[in-house]
Amino acid sequence: MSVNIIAVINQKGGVGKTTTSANLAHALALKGMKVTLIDFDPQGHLGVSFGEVKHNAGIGEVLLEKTTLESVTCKVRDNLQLIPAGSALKEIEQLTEGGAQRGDLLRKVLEVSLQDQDYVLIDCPPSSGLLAANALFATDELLIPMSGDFLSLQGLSHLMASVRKFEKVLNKKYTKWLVLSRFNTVRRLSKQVLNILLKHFPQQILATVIRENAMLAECPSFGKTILEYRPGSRSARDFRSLADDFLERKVMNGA
Amino acid sequence: MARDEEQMIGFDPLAWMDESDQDKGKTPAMEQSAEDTGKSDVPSENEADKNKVNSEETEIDIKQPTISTQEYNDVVAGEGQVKLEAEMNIQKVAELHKTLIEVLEQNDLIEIDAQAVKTIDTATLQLLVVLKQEAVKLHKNVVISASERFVESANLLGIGQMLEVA
Repeated sequence: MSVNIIAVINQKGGVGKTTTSANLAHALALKGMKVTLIDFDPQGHLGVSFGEVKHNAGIGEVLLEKTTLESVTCKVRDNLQLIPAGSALKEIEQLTEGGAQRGDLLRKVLEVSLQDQDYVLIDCPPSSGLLAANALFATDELLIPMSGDFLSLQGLSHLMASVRKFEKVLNKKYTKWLVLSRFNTVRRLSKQVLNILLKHFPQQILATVIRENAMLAECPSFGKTILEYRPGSRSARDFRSLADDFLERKVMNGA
Repeated sequence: MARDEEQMIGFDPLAWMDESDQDKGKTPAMEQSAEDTGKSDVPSENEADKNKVNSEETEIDIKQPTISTQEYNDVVAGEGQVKLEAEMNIQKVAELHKTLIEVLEQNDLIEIDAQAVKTIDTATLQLLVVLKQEAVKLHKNVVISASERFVESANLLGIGQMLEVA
């Protein structure tokens, strides 16, 4: 089985990209999958979520050829390894030289690395610049976290405009999966957002909804995922169920 | 303006996607069933050739989607951006109109940077409303990053929601 590289992406902030990346990856690892997480957000919050705060070097240094991927990869849990952001990652966004190759740095690295892994999840930054471009070059599959508010829809619209440009230029079609995160199941607005998503992304919304829960915001401060912090909580159940959906491609049915 | 009290979303920002798909005669969902878990195939040799730019003597790695710098710039930074000045009034509308037409023709996503706006008149706001309407017809997207004064002015005229800045 070849490695599946998936970009966890949404140009809008606050929709749960890092929370989804960390907890879904850990849930997959607990199910026996070999998973690598790439912290592709210069803020480095994914590393923090696993209690990994001491790394200066990371994927940024690798892309700038200052070090190797192997040297910055760290095992954070059984079956789960993390490639931290690194202090140089923010420099990538500022690159002005290199033409088209600037967008192709990550793909080139991953092409020859991590081949023993089942999944590589790239936690993308909330922006549409060079880092997001690198992620889109490197993958054929997108996991798009969405919260249940109107601005999320607006953000998704921008993302889809970018994705279509990439599809056209790279002559490929992304497989897209939406995951409803930070979702308030009782709000009418959330339900209406969901209906709109079902209309435009039929058979592409993973069946399990990640419900909004304060515990999900608490656990990064302890360097733990929800599966360690409160393994019996409904949020932990949500993520275990989401991992099953992800593996089985179990999606919501139409509106 | 009558409004369905049950409806909590004024408009669908993703509507352009379906219209665009209909134009192509197919939807992404038709191509991607839930069971289709395989990743997209590596581009074929022909596809790689199609993407090949200025590299006739270069050995092409068919896994590598080669694109030109221009194409790259178009796709990464091709979003049309228009920056509005601090003072926007009818004297500047004609010039802005011309700029917007060009940007609308060349881009699918138009970003209006109105964060510096301190005063804006109805003529400019009207023009932006028309831009929004035209963009919808063309299945394009207009995003306005607005200053507080811009938002105040738009709301005063009751077009804040229409411009998506309310």
